[in-house]
Amino acid sequence: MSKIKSIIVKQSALVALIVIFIIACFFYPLFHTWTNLYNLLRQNSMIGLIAVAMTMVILTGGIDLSVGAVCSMISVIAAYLSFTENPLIILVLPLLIGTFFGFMNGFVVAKMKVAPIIASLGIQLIARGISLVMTSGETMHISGAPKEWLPKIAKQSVGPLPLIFLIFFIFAIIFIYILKYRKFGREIYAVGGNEDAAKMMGIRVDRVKIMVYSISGFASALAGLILVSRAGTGQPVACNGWEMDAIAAVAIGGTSLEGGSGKIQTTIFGVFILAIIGNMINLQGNVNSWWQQIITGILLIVVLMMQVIPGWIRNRKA
Amino acid sequence: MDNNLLLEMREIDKRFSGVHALDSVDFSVRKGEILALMGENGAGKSTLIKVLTGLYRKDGGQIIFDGTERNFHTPQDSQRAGISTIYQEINLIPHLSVAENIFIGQEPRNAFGIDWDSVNKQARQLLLDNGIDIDVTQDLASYSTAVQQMVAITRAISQNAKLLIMDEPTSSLADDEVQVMFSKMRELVAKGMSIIFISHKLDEVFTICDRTTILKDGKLVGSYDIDKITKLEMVSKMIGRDASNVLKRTVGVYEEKPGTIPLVHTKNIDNRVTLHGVSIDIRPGEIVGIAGLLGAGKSEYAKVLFGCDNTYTGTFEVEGKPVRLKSPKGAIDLGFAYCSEDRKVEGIFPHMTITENMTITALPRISKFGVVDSKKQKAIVDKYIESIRIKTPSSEQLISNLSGGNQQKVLLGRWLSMNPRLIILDEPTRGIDVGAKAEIEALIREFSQNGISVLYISSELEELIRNCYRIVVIRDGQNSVELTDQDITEENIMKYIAKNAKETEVDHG
Repeated sequence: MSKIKSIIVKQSALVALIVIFIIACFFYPLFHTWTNLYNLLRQNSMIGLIAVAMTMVILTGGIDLSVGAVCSMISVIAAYLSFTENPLIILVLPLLIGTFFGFMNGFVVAKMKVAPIIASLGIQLIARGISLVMTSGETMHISGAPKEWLPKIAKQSVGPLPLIFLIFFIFAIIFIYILKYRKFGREIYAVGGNEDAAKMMGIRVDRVKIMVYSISGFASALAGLILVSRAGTGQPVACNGWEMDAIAAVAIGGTSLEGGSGKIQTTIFGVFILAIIGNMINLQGNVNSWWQQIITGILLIVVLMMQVIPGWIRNRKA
Repeated sequence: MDNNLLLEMREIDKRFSGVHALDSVDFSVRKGEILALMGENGAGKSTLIKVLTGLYRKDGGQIIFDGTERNFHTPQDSQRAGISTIYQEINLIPHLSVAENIFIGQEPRNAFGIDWDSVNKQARQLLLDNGIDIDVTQDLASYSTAVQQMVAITRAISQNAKLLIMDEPTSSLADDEVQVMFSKMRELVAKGMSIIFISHKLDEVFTICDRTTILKDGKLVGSYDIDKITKLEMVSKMIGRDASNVLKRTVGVYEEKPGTIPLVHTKNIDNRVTLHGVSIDIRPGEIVGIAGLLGAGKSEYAKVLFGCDNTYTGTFEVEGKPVRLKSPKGAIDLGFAYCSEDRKVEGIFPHMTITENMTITALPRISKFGVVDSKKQKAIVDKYIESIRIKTPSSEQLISNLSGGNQQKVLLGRWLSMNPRLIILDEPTRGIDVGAKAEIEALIREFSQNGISVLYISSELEELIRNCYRIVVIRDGQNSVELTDQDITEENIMKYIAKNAKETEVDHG
């Protein structure tokens, strides 16, 4: 019995995901049709990419509020670059730009000791401003040959799965591996667990921090490329509040917002818990989609309570 | 140079914006010895260590380590050369596994990446070699401080350190755990390692060290073989004045005025976990000491008095009236004050000024319609800065800029401004140097003269002996003995602390 209890506590995100999945299957016949699930995977790959990178930022004890704005800016930049008609420029340059924005973010946090929430808020405003200046707030159209091939990418399937889901999946696997089996991954935990100790152990704390924000910038840029491909235009005002969705997914996944403990795996469960809730509300049809926010909020608190309450009980007994 | 020297630091100089932190200090460590680096806070001990390990750049002098002149620029440099440091506050990562804490930065690898099997196997073996049999895959945080300290030592050993620096390593260990650590240290030295041992606890220094180097005000006082110097001489050299009073009792017999009832009367306090029948009376103006091992129930008893633990059974009366405190608020309303043993966690607000720190509990009394009357506030702060001699250029200094002793005084000021009837002091001099200690103790005796009762909890017996009218020894959550007047001696207290104590050998040097 206590074993089951400890599994429920340790895997609260997975348990919640399974419960919600079963509820969705039970009440919404359309839910477990392949078309619906396929769309679910495709729609949530972007937020998934961002949440995976956000997990690492949060593991170091930081936070990145710039992700949504960078993602949106990259979609605009990629659309803008379509005039070159050069796939390398259209696909690679935006990734570099996104990574550079993450690098700046990390540099300001690590070297100039600005609080992450402020540094990334600054980057968010800069990125959002650039999108608006470039477009005057209108969507930016793709020109020339890329108009044909760029939107096709998001529609590709590999076997039964959407290509963009695979991109997300591979990205997640790589960083799950790095966190567990690479020195850099372990250093991320060390920095978030006890920064001073990490320093004394010879870990280059600043470098680790700059790296995780750069990865976050890269992931946002990758999501931005997917966005421009899916939408067929650059989207200067899209992705509002994605940073909060990503943070919510990380928190539901049980990663400590103080840093030092947590996992990418459970963040992914968090992403899909939020996704299925949204999906159910869509399938309901007659419920205002703003209910999604209320339900997400309640769920966030319930899942976090599941993680905290066993600690209270233990302390009371001790 | 002498073949027998592992480390030689010559004429080391270090200045911080005008302050001469190290003034041409010579310092050396022989191979296979335990050297005590002694001095008050601010004497330059930690500056010297930081220059050695590469955290600070020296302004002048030479460092010769293991036969060659070295200049370490970062802690990594000195670690690579064979210098490991263990700090007072354990510098490990709480949420990583024990094994990983030992190996982080130098994990064994295979083609796939970190080889977790051999990380865990090797860590387990290393700990077994040190006589510790634990599950190394658990989080470090799930083990006691003592185990964590041993993990830190194991980490240092695994790095093939030639010189181990231990900065107050015993400050959070119980006596029996200290003994385990000491035997480990002796083993390491026998294998040829050298150890620099920094501690405020004289007993420990005299038990474990071969030699001592004493610093004062950034200058070298001298180096002495430990068997050729006495405790008194050592303290005198550290504080630079005659210290023959240090080990003497400073209070006489408590004179009970007829007809007074005890301020606090407790009988058979039992919370079924840590306390199993503690009975203590505290009379007005009396200083009562509690002695006992770590975990004997000293702080736990204090927490009952201060309303932090409401699960107990037993009698608890204040001035003859039974009370049951449900929260610290209730205790404060009765005129009780409590200085926690953990100043940093439960005491100071590091980002606030002296004024703000001192008046935080007094705010309701000095506010009108929720607005703080800054004149009244200033009056309180000035009064206590003056009367308890807090050394600061201004009351608007951040508290974190003060030394440990002065921070403690600010906290005392905080409680004094409430006009308390009882002050509970839990390890009031922890981490405070000898000079400031004497001042804090003098203040405590002043409280008593002004009619304030004091419950004095300390793991340093000398302190209790000096200052208490009466000492209650508790053991395993129960009263062991109550000592007064001439019965208050170190030997007596030790005897009752150790009596029948489970598996505890008290090695008193």
